[in-house]
Amino acid sequence: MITFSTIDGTPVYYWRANRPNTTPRNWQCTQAFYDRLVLWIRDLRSLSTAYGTVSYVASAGFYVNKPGEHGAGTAADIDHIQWSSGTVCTPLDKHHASSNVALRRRYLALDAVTRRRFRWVLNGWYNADHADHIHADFGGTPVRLGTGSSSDVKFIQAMCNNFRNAGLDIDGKWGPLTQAAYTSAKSALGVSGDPTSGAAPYQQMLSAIAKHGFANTTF
Amino acid sequence: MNERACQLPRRSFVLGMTGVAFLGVGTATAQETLSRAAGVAVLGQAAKALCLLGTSWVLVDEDGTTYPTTGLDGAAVLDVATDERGVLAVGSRPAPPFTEATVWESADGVTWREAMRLAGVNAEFTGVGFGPGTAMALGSVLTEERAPAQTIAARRERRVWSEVPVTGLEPTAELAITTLSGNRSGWVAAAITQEGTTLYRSPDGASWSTDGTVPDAAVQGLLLEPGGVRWVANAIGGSAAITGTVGAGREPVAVPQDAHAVGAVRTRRGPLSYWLVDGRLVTARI
Repeated sequence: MITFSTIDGTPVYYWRANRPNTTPRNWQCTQAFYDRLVLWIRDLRSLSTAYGTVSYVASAGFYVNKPGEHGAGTAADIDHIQWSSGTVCTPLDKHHASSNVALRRRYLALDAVTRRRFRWVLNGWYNADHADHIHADFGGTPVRLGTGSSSDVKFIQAMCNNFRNAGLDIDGKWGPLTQAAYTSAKSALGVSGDPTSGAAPYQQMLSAIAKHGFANTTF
Repeated sequence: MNERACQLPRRSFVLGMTGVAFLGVGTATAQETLSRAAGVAVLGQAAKALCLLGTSWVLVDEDGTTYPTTGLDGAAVLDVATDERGVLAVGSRPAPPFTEATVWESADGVTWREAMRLAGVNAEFTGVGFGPGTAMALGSVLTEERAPAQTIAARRERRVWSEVPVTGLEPTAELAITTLSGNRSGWVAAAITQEGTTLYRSPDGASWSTDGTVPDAAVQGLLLEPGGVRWVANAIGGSAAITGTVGAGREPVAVPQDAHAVGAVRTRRGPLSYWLVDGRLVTARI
């Protein structure tokens, strides 16, 4: 594993003990995972330029000494993103469940950016343990949309509800209502190809969702 | 080291004693570093760690000598425990696309046999220990994304392992349990959150309740001592090597900054922590 305190130059802090703590931390992960984090933060920067630069990230852990992807140094828990404009996205404050739709859309934008680079992304809708952070890891197959994956389906259902008032139950089950809302959203986003069968069309769709989320616009 | 283990193939391996000196330098090549350490326990008169060397699990003696094991091929071993009744290991067996929670038993830590497997369930056992009158394992049912979804428990009664219900561990359903320790007075388990470790205590292994927290630490080893519960961990915010006693202070452990806690044991030399550092085991007094 490697040790790092910044991702591509952006500091990463730990807020769980106290916030807003900006003491540098020596995090660990594998080199391959760090390389992916660099791609992730570059995506984040390029898709959120209206907010200024990404000032720092607060995380609840990369390598964490426990079973699973964290223990292998191939996972990240994202608590907070701070931009130079003062704009924030704070999964730690459960922005996915905020009464402010702009915060919910921004949360989904961050979620979408993360899904562009990591197959398994567990968000606030996934379960209670992830209500206060977005988890990303190297598990599973290459990036694509899985209609049998509870984490993917809940993301699609939340996206359809928050951008298109689809009124879906966020239950992680891909039924006819979710299929119809997804097809309609995909068309509105101008996505070509099938996000369930390949990385490129899914990443195209995720970028489009992120742009709308950071701009707080419907589609 | 017992007589049987001494008769088995072995080779020297690197094992360091932090703050003192390296006890020995082995012949392992760069490709033969330890990639994982399931845990450490006292076997016979000495502490031994069960580690993954390449694709094979080996038992690593205090002097760094390694002994190939049998019966664990392909397994993901996550914890070990010993007492005079033998050696236990837990983890999972691959059952694509899932894994099946498994318990293994051994008389010497070298020759293992599968004692229990939860077939048809995506799960893993993550902690095992000996306690009052029996042995016990804890773990999780996993989602497709391998996130913990439900805590599972198994006990050995009259040499037979079976899944058992427990109460009081409901808050750990979506958390990873890293370690389970027992003594004559009961059990202590550690579950990891984003904030740190929550400890759970049980007099009988069936009924559990919270028993304190260790903030900003992923506890990987517990020693139940008369003066309290001693722990070793890596910090969550960063990964610093730390140790302490529940309810009291904490202090850094004199190991390299990239050291990953394997566990803690009480040896003839006192309480000792084990760490995995760049593919090598390192020990430090705590």
